[in-house]
Amino acid sequence: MSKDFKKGMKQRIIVLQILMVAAIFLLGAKSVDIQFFKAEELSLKAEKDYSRYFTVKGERGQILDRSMNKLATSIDAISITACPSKITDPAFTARKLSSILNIDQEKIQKTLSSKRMFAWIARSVSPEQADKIRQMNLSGIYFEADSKRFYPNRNLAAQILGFTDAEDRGLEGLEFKYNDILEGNSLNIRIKQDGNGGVLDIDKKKRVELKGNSIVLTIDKKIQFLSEQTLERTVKAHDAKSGMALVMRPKTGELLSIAHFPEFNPNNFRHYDSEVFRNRAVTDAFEPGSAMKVFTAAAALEKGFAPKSIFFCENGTYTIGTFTIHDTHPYEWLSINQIIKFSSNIGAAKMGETIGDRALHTALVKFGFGDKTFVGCPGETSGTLSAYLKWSKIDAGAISFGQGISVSAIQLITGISAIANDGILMKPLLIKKIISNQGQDLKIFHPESIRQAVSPEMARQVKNMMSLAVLEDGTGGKAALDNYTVCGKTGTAQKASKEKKGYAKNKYISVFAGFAPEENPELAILIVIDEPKKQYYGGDVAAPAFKTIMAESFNYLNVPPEKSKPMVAFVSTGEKK
Amino acid sequence: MAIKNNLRQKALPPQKAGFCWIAVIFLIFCELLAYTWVRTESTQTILRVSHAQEMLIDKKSYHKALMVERDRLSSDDRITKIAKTKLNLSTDTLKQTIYFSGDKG
Repeated sequence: MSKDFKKGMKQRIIVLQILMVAAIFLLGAKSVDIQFFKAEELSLKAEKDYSRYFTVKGERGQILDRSMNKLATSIDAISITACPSKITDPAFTARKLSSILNIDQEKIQKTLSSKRMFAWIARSVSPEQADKIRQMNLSGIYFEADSKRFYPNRNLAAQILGFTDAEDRGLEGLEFKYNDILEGNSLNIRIKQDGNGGVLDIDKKKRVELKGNSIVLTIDKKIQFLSEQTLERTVKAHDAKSGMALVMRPKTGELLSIAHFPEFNPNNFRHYDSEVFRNRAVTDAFEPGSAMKVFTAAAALEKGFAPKSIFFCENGTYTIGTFTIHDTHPYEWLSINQIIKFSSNIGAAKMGETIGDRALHTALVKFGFGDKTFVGCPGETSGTLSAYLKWSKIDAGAISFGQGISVSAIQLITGISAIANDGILMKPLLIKKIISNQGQDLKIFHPESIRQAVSPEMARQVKNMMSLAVLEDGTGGKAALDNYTVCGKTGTAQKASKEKKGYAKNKYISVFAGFAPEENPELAILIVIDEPKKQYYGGDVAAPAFKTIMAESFNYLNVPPEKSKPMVAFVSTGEKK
Repeated sequence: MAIKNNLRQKALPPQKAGFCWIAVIFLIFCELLAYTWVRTESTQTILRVSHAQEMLIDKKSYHKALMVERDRLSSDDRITKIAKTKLNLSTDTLKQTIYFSGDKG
């Protein structure tokens, strides 16, 4: 080997060494740059790829009946979301999604074309749709665990419960009123994902912890169903516009049922006219007609009259100022007992006039008329009971038999229950308790007495009068039950005309309000039928519905018969004695 | 001079020094492999846990859906319709008192 060759080799080695050292130096420098100067920027960039921020919303709480049956619940669903900033071809992704979700392609494309980090594409899609989209493996498209409101009993108690929108916000009924309680909590969390976009994080379980509180109602699912069924039959049989049936426990004020017809299915409320969404038992006021006479009688008894005090009933026609009052049958002298039994308008008007405006007004206010009950449903009306100083000459007389005053169904049944409950007016109770997502009681609503509306003795006397009205020759004979003494009062009110002053022709509201058994009232029931066509007297239209609901409810609640028949069992031959 | 000679004798021969370096590099390489293995296993475990949780959530969700379906199927409205239309049953709750007659037993 020549000396020159050795020298050249040495030089090349030196050059290579210098190059290698330079390369190592450059690598080191780059490493320092990455590790120290660009560390934050790069780690943020990397984090974007394997994690993202996401708002977890807890499931909405349930609405349960008094026996903890589900009336409104939430089921798990999958929602499609997107990170538009990660989508390179919005038109392609939109076309693919549109074909499966049946959503307008342009709408999706517009959403995907933004530079946002999060966007909803579709809420609560079917598992099949979610699977199809998942198989497409579209980048920037994600699947979020979501929930969907579901009402397993469909139409049952729909007007009480209301419904929610796609974002799970209450829009009507208790869903709206108690949205803050039912709504689940939200939490903004960072979730990690693998290369395929699959979520690795264990934070998913937080959804359970974030669940909203639940509401337990006083409503009894069974009695609600029995009421709705009977109400539907009654409304259809009389070709009526609508109807309401309320069932209350007089001793506690607990509402066991608030039935409406026509009803709607809150699972697909968009298919119904918004007119049927209202809980009319609370929001709408109507003239109660003769059902009001029991309160006039109570006022008269409180004023010192006796059940046998008599009033001259003018043989069927009585004029106050320019107004003429009629009775369906002409009567001469009637006792208060008979005024209630035969439902004499003139007798009631005379009672009202005799006791005076102030006494009548005071009695009605004591029974809760003209004031909200604060039952806890949205849009409650207080009805109309003007101050007695503003009453005209006819007002006391008209109010005495249920005209010139408007009440809500909830006020009327609360007032009737007060008579059943020895004169004690109870606050109507619809919410029994609020429970946490862990099942613990957060707040319990106990029965609350408002005031003594009428003395126990007077209440007993009014009860007796009401029992006379349900005798065979009374106006409410069709409400009588075989083995229980029923106390009740019919009501037939002409509806106010919408076009002109005064009352509309052939438009009536038929009412029956009562309770049973007389000695120890278990249930109070109010039936209101709006614009029945074939018959319109409360005793013909509403009383039979009262009887059916009361009998079926007693059967369900195992209320023992009141009238004591000889309870000796004989060997049966199968013949009726 | 004698001390210098001793030091020269104690210094490692170049071949041995090379082995030392190879051993160090091997150790570091092993550490890298171990670290990679731990990291991979950890990711795999996270994946397995995540998958198991997903399955649990799915099962719970399915259970919940079944419960709701049970409630829907056992709703009074549906049962009554079946009883009336398919089984020809009827309720007569208004006349439930049974009258016995005949000789005293």
